[in-house]
Amino acid sequence: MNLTRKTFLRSSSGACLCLPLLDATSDETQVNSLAMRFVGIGAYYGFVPSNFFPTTIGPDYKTPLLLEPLKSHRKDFSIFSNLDHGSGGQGGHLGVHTYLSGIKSTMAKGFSEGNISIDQKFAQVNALKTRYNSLVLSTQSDKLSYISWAKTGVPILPETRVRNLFEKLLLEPNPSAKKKLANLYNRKKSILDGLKDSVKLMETRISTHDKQKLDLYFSTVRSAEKTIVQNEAYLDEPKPKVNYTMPKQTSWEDNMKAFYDLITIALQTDQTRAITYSVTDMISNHGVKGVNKGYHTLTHHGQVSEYLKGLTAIELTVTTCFNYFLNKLKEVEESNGKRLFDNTMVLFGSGMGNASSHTNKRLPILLTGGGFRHGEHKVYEKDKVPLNNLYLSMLQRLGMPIDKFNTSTGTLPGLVSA
Amino acid sequence: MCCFIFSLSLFATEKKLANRNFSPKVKAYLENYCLDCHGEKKQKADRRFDQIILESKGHHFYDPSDHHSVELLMEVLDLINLGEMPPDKRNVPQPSAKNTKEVVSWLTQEQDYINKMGKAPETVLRKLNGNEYRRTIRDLLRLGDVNYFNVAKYFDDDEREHGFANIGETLNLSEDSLSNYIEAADDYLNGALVWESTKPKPTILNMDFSQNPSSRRLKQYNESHVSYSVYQQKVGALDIAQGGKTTVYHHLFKAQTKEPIRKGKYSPIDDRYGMVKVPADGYYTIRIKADAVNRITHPYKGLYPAMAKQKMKLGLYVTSDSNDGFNNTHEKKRSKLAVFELEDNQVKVYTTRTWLYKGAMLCIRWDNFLIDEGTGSINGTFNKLYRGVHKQAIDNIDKFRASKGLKPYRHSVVHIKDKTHQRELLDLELFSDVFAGPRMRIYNLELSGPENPVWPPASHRALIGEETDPNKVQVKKMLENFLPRAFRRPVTQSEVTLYENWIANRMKSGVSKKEAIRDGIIFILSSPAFLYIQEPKGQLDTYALASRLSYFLWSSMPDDELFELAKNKTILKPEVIKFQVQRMLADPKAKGHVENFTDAWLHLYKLGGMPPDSIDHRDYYIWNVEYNMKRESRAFYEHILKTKAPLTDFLDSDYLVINEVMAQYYGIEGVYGDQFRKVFIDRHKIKRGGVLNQASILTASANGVETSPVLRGIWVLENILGTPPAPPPPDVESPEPDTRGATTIRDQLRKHRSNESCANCHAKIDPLGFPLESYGPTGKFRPHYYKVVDRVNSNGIKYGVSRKKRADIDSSGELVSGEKFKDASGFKSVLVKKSDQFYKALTEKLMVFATGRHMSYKDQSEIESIAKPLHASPATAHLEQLITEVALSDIFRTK
Repeated sequence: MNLTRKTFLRSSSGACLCLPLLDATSDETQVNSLAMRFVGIGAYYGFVPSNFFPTTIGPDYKTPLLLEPLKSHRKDFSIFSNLDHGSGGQGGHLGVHTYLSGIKSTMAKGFSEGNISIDQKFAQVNALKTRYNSLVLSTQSDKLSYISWAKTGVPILPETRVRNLFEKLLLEPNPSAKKKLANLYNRKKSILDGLKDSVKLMETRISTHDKQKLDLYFSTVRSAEKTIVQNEAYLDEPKPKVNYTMPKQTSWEDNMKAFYDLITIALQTDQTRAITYSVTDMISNHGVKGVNKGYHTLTHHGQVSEYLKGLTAIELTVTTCFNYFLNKLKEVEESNGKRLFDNTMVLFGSGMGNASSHTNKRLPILLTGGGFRHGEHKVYEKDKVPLNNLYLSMLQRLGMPIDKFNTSTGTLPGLVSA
Repeated sequence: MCCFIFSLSLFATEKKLANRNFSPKVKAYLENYCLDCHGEKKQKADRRFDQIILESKGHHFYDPSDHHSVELLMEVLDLINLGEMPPDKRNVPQPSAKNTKEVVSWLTQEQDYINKMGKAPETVLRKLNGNEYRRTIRDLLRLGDVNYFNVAKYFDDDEREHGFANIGETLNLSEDSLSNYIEAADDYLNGALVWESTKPKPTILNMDFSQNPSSRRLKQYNESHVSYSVYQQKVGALDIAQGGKTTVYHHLFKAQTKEPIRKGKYSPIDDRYGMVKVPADGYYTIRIKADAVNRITHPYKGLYPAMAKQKMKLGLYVTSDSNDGFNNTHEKKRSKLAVFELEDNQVKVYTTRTWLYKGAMLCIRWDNFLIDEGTGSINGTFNKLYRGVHKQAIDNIDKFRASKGLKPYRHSVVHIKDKTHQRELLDLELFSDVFAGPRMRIYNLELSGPENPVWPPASHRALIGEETDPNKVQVKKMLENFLPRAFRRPVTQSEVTLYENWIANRMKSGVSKKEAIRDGIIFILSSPAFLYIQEPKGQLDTYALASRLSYFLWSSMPDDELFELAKNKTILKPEVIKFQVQRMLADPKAKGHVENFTDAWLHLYKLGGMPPDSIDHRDYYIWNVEYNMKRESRAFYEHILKTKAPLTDFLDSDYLVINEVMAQYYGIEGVYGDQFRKVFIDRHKIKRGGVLNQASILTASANGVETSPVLRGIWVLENILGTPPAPPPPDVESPEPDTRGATTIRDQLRKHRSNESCANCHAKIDPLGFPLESYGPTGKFRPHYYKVVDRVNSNGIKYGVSRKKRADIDSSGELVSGEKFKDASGFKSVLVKKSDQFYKALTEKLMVFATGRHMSYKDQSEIESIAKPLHASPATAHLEQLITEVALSDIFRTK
């Protein structure tokens, strides 16, 4: 498949690629390059439930306050009520990181694939087909907000700077930097190669329990090797030329929009097919006009109306930016005649059900695209349906022939093709 | 007890023990007093006891190999002993004392049997955590005192379990961190390896303001409302008179260069100066010629009150990123090298000698300026001057701006880009021409070095030996020297061959020998034998024992002396261990123990995770309290360790170990200076003493916004009493706080406790948190609950907050076991009476830290045998003795 992939890249880099425009590729490559994409967006503090969930079931719900900005997409998304990770996701702030996996990192060792998150599971399918297996992004590097996890029970550290993401996707390294990189890859490869031998030497000295630890080390070495092979393979592939300049970012909102711009470009230029983006703001100022308190402070609103007002302004900023993203996805037409929006599955939600009471139950979950029929508020039986059932359905739709994902008990009923 | 669950899997392969008879009396006891809540129908706190009892032909027994059953039985024993179960409630029948005694005696007998027959879990191959990695590299490469060496900044995110970051079972290696290890080793070698045959000549970097010709430009760039650093031509010096907002103002050392290098946002001394980076690793002497101007003699009445009481302090810092010098949240990346108290109006040279790494940058700061900045308004002191006595100077600028068609700028920022305008502006009388307030005056900054007493430096010797010509290095010999230290044990021939061949292959592939050796060392420093602490099964061998000791007491690798004791096997002797514990605790490297153990035990690592709002808690940031509160707890621990103070001082003490910042924070007068020292307190006035009322613990057990008796209660249960509660049942919702009116968290919890499934645990938890309610989320004493109201200026910008009384605080409580107290000090007295429980908890925490695994019930009898004598003779029981006992225990000496 790699050959086709390269052909595709060459053709796309020949022409000056302007947004929204990726339909200049040759017919031959279309089929392969238009696999389904996945984006998972997690808002660290979740949303005030009464402002997020509709009060009625089905398609005719009254638009809740926080979904107002998404009104024009109403027919194109589903909202799910009463889905969560059960006891596996409980833990207040310490439970949020289970958003995309349903398993706490401390419990990972009890599961065959650890606490692998849906994006990483999906990325397995796409290994080596794109420049990056996955992109893991966050507005801030904060341990509690890591949502992407490898099967070895460790987090994938997020990229937090728009500038770095921009470089990763669009900036061609100069020849001397390329040479340096090539040299670094070469050194790392031979070190990793040596490490495998040193593991074998050590195996003879240790007990059975220790052996399991060492196996994990070994598998980490293996996956690091694969990453380097991938980096090497793409080192000489020119990056796509996209007419995009880094926007000025003076507020949190600007920052989110810049991330969404680049996420759109990453998908459109097929540099990756699995992306997560964690929206959080623990320390720095969110810059939302008229709001004088920090995001975290406001989530502890204690029902004080002034606090709730400020929190709502911030949460509306989050959904407004999400709307900006959906608009972008709809603007891009792809070579199969569909919009990027249709070729992408976007999950929007949180591992926090209600920050005020620190509960990780009844998570806010919204899904767009993926060829599912949307437009409804779907309500499930309380405390009975694992969110991982939805993820299993999604993974199947993403082309994975699996019948279980982490703690799933089956697929999610009521989710049908469009 | 909390740790039982983690050890379950480890027993799977154990030999099965024969079933044991189940005492009919105990069976009856369970049926009468326990099974209603913990049986077939209800399983409160997820506990179910009826399944423990097995039956065959009318005979009752239990399976001592079934670890779940055994854990439950041991928990029953603990809770009956503690008097917590059965709960003291009207509708729960209570057993007679005699009956209880019989049950306890049978359970104790069974515990002894299990302890004898069973085996404790083992420590799983444990990875060095980030902190241990840094310290190990430092010692392995003999890099000297490089705590501020910043290359390993990526390794701060180790998984913690119950606060501990060194549990083998929990620690995993991610692809990112493997890659970081490789790159960090690369960075370390930049500094550690030298291939020049002769010593580099020491250089002197000098920043001499008396030679600076460009006074006027300086004036114009540096008058701003957030910074005041003005070059004074007449005296040939730089005046630093202000910090601002939450950004603490710093000045980077600069040296003269001809070309403009950068004009940093916060380093506007002059755009013709470049940042000075330290040219090579080594020891340097730094000289600063400075004095304090107008500290008391300034004309501004009512301003600078704190300056009247203390000398002006110049702080000298090192950082590896110019931005880190300025940002308050980057405290961790910036290390303080020295603080100088400046003499008033008397020019002196202040000197310090320190180890610096290549590429480091130095910065200086007026350390105690912000104490006078006040908390009322954004620009504090300077704003008052702009609006008051020096209004004319500000008006001059605005008039000037207006005449050029520019908008008046807030206050006095004069970033005017037009060069002609700039020149014209300088003819006006500006703020800096009239300002007469206190300031640091710097005449000269000088950095000289590196001073290398030996060549090649110790780091190169540790790796290669004396040879500085790569082509003459004997690789095999080098590996035979280096590998045993890197792997902390003797190495086999096949190991040497592996690395030797690898380096040879590298050279064959066309890499120079110099690079191949260097890559080979990176390979060694990424290999599992270096990154993991290896221990043989069962009794530790002498080398593993040496590593246990060094990672316990230094968080780093063994030194030459320990290696020698391991080699000649004398390390196995108890008296040798005793002596080593003393020696190691007296070594400066024991900071590793103090820092990492307090982080884990007291959960100090949580500080900074949920920072309070920067405007609502301005003093917290201005004084850099978070950093200092953490230091306070460490200094307190260190004090108890070093002075052999009674262990009960952890629970309550009539003294604090504080520095100036913490003294201010606690409202204690007369404590000056950065260093921590013992200060006796009047406890009627100052409601502190012991760890519980330390600001760090109170902050770490809150969430930056509000306090929770539940979180703090759990903190006390887990870390002081050693009896953490069961996690809440999954189907229960925690209550949503309501802080609108006069209801308090206490009222809300009362409601929560009326929910039957919550009541039992919360009766145990909440009372331990209530007495701490008198301390706010950042550890400040508060007589009431407050409502925080924003203060907003005419432009709608928030500049501060005011606090209004909302409700009274009731800090009284009653423990499940019956003790009552009125407030925090009464509560602490109750805890002191329970010191036997505390000793056990502390012993267990030390044991976990020392072994890198959680303790199981199998370990309890040995832990008790260590803790009990402490209780029997509290006067002579001290921390060093406890640490020694831990190091001598079987638990410690077994994998």
